Amino acid sequence: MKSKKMSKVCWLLLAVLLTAAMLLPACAGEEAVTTPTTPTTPTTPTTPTGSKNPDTFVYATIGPPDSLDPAYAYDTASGEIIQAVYETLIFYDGESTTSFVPMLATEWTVSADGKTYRFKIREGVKFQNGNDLTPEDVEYSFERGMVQDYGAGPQWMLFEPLFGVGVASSRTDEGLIPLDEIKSKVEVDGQWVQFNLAGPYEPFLQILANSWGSIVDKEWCIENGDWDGTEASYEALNDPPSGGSPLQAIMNGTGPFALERWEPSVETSLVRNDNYWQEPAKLERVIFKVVDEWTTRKLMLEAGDADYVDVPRAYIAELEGVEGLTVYKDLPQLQNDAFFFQFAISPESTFVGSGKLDGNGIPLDFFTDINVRKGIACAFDWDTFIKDAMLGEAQQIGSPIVEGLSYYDPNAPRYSLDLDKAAEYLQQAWGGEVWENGFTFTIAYNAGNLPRKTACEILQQNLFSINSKFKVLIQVMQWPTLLRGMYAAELPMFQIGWLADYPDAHNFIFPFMSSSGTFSGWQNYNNPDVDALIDAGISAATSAERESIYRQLDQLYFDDVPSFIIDQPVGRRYFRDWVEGWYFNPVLPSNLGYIYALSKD
Amino acid sequence: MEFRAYIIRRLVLLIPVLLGVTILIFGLLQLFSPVERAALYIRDPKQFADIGHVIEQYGLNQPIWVQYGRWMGEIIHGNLGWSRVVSQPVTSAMLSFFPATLELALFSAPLIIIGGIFLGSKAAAHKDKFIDHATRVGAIIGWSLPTFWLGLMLLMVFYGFFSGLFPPERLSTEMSILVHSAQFTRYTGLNTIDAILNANGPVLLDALRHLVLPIVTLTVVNLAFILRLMRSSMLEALGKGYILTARAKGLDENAVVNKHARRNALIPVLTVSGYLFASLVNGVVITETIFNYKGLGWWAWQSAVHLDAPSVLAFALFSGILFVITNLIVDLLYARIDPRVRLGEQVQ
Repeated sequence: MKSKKMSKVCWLLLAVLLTAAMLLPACAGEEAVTTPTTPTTPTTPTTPTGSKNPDTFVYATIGPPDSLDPAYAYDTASGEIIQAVYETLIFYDGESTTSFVPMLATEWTVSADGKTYRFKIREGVKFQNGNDLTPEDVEYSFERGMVQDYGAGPQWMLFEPLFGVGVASSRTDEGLIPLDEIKSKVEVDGQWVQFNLAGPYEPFLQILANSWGSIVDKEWCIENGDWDGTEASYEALNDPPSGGSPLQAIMNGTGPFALERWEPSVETSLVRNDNYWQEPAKLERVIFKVVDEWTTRKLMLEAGDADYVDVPRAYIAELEGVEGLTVYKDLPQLQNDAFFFQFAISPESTFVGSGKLDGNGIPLDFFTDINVRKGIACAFDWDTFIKDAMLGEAQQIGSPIVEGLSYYDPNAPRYSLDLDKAAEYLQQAWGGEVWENGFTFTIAYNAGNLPRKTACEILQQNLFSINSKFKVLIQVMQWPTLLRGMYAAELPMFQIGWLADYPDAHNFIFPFMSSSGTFSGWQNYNNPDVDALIDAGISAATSAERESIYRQLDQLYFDDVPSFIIDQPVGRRYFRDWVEGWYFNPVLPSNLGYIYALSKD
Repeated sequence: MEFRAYIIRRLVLLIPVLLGVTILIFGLLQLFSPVERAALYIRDPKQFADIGHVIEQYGLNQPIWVQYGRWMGEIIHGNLGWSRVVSQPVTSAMLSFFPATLELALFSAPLIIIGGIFLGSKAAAHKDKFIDHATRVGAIIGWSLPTFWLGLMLLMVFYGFFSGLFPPERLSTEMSILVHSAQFTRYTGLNTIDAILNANGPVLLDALRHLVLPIVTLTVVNLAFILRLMRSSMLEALGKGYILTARAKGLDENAVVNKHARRNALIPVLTVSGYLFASLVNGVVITETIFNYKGLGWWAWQSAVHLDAPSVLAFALFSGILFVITNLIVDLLYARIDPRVRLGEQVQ
C-alpha cells in the first residue's frame, strides 16, 4: 500500500510540475509576454511585436572571450568586450579603416621622418572606478603590455614598430629586452605622450586604435597585483601562462560600458557607464551569451530573446524570408584563405606516398619546381568554389592583400581555371617526369570545414581530369593534427587563412611571403628579393613608395606562386529590426561593430 | 566497526583508482605530439608564429614523467590548473558548471528512476496485456530517439512554435539580471533552490520553465532502460516460489506485487539507477549543448575536443570519485533492501 501511495504522489508531483510550467508564461510577468502569430509549422518563424528587453542588447555568439586584459587578449571575442569597456588614444572614424577620430587623445602629430608620434591626452576623463586619466596611465599601459608580453600574444605589433622589424617579443636570444629600453620608447612630456619608433611605420596609428592599444588605470593595476614599474616585477610578470595576467577577469576602463559580470564561456554582461566622458550609451546593458548550437541561436533570434546571433554561412538559407530581421549583406571581411605549397617536406611525412616520382608518391622537394606550383594553381576552379562552397559569399583576389586594406589592388594578377595551361606547366615539370609517371600525395582539411573540403575536391578532380596519373588523396583531420602537419612540414599542401590584426598590407604580406612569416616560414619559402621588398615596404617614408613596393610584391606573388589565394569571404549580419545605429567597419573585432553606437527602438 | 572499516577501505580504494585513471589519461594525451597539444593555446592563425614558444612555456616537449610529476605537485598544493577552454581555473570551472548539471540530475533522475520502476512493475504485473505492450513500445520508441533530434524537436515545438513557452538556457534575460544582482543571494548555484531560499516566486517559476525541456528529453531517452530492467526483474521475481506461496495464502495481489515481488526485483535496478544518477551528475553533453544549459558534460566535452589536459584530468578525478562513492552508496542500499547482504561479512 505504501509503495502504491508513493507512486501516486510521484505522478501527482510530475503532473503539478508540468501543469505549472505550462501556465508559467501567463504568470511570469508582463515583460515575458509576447504576442505570437499562429505559425503553420513548428519551424515557421514567429513575429514578436517588440523587443522583450528594450534597454538590454542580447548577442548570442559562438566565441567566448579568452581574457579581459587588453594587453593579453588576442582573439576577436575578447576584443569586442574590451573595446566596449576600455578606450584607445584614437579610434576609427566611422566606416573608415585609415582615418581616425580623437578619443583619449585630443590631438596628435607625426614627425617628418615618421619616427616620432605625439599624443595630447584628454583631460577630465575618469576611469570607471573614479580615478582620473593621466598621461602616466597612457605611458604605463603600453609599457605594461610589453613587460607582460607572452608567446602567441598581440604585443609583437608594438615591438615591431618600436624596436624594428624582426623584433616581435620581449624575449630575445640575449634575454629580456632591458626595462630601460622599453621605457625609452614611450615617454611622458607634460600632457603629451610620445612614442619613439625604430623607423617609419605607417600602420602604427591603426595598431594603436585596436584593443591592444587600450588605456588602463596604473594605480588600479598596481593595486591588483599588476606590474609596479620595477625590474623585479618585470621578470616575475613577463610571459604569463594562460590566465596568469592580473587583469584576466577584471576591468576598469574609461569606456561607455563597465563590466558587470563575466561567467567565462557562458555569459558576459556589460552595464552602461553613466559617468562616461561623452554622452552615455543608449543601451543600458549588453549581454554576450555563448550559444553553441545553431538551431538554439536561430530560435532565440526569432523569439526576440536575442537581438543579434552569429549565423554560419551554411545556414543563411534558413533565415531567408524571416520577418522582423534587418540583414546586411556583401560585407567584405578582412581575411582570406589560401592553398600553400611545402617547399621542403619533412622526411617524417606520411603524406607523400613512395617519396619518389614513380606515380605512387612525390619527392620531398616536389614543389620547388615552379611548373608544379603554376600547374596546380591553374587547375583550381574559383567560380565553382565560390558558388558551391561559399554560396556566392566570397570573391577571388590575386594577392594576400585583401579588399579593405591599404594598398589593395583589385587588378592584382591572379590565376584562373585553365586546364590546358595547367597541363602545359605540368608537362614541363621535373623534365617531363611528372607528366610521364604521374604523382600521388595527400592534402588535408580540418574536420567540419566544408568549404576547405570542397576546395580539396575541386583540385583533386581537375588534376585527375588533366592526367589520370595525377592522384590527390584527401584526408580529414582534427585541428590539432592538421596544425602539427603544417608546422612540422609534413603536409605537402595545406589550406589556412589569415584574419587582419590591423588594416594594412604589411599585416598580410609578411605572413604569406616573408622567409620568417608565419605561413611562408612553415613552407620553407625563401626569396631574398621578396624579403628585401617587405622590409622596404613597411619602412618606406611615403605612401607612394609603399604603393609601388606592394605592386611589385603582388607581381612576385603571382610569378613565384608560393601559395595561391582561394577567396576573400564576404559576410552578413542579422539583427532584429528594432536595432539601430549599426555600421560596418571591417577592422572592428565585434560583429556588433561599435557597440556604443547601438540602440533599440 | 566492521561496517565503518568497510566504508574506509572502499574510500581508500579511491587513491589507486584515481592514480590509475590519471596515469592512463596522461599517457593517452602523450600520444599526441607537443604541437597538437599546443593547438589548445592557438585560437587564431595569427598566433601560429609563436607556437614553438608555447610548447616550451608549458613544457609540452618534456618527458611524460616530468609533466605528470609537475601536475601532481600542483595537485598536492591544491591547484588543479587552468582550464584553457573556459578561461578560468579548473576548480572555479568545476564549481561554476556543477550546479547546472546537478540541478538537471536532481530533477530528471527521480522521474527516470521512479517512472521506470513504476511502469516496469505495471508492465510485469500485466504481462502481455495492453499496458505491458503500450509501455514497452513507448519505451523502445523513447530509447530509439536520438537525444539531439528529440531535443531539437522539443525546442522547435515548445520554444519556436509556441513562441517561447519553454525556452533554452537556465534563466530568461530579465531573471538572470535579477539573480546576479544584489537583490538576490546565490547560495547554491541551483536556481530553483536559490529561488526558494530567496523566497522569489518569479525566479523559481522561470527556472522551472527552463528546466522542462531538458528534463523531458533526458527522461524520455533514459526511462526505457530502467523500465525494461524493472520489468524483466519483476517477471523473474513473480515466478519465484515465495510469490506462489503468498498468492496461495490468499494475499491481496497488490501486496504480492508491491511488497514481495517489487522489493526483490529492485536490487539490479538499484545498481543501474546508481550509475544512471552518477552519469547524469557527470554531465549530459548533448542535452546541455542543445538547450544551452552549460554544465559539466559540456565542459568535459569541450576539454576533450581541445586536448585541455588540466580540465580532462580534473574531470577524470571528479568522475572517479563520483563513481566510487555512488558504488559505495549502492552497496549500502543493498544491505538496506536485502537483509541477507551483510557488508562487514563481505569484506571478510
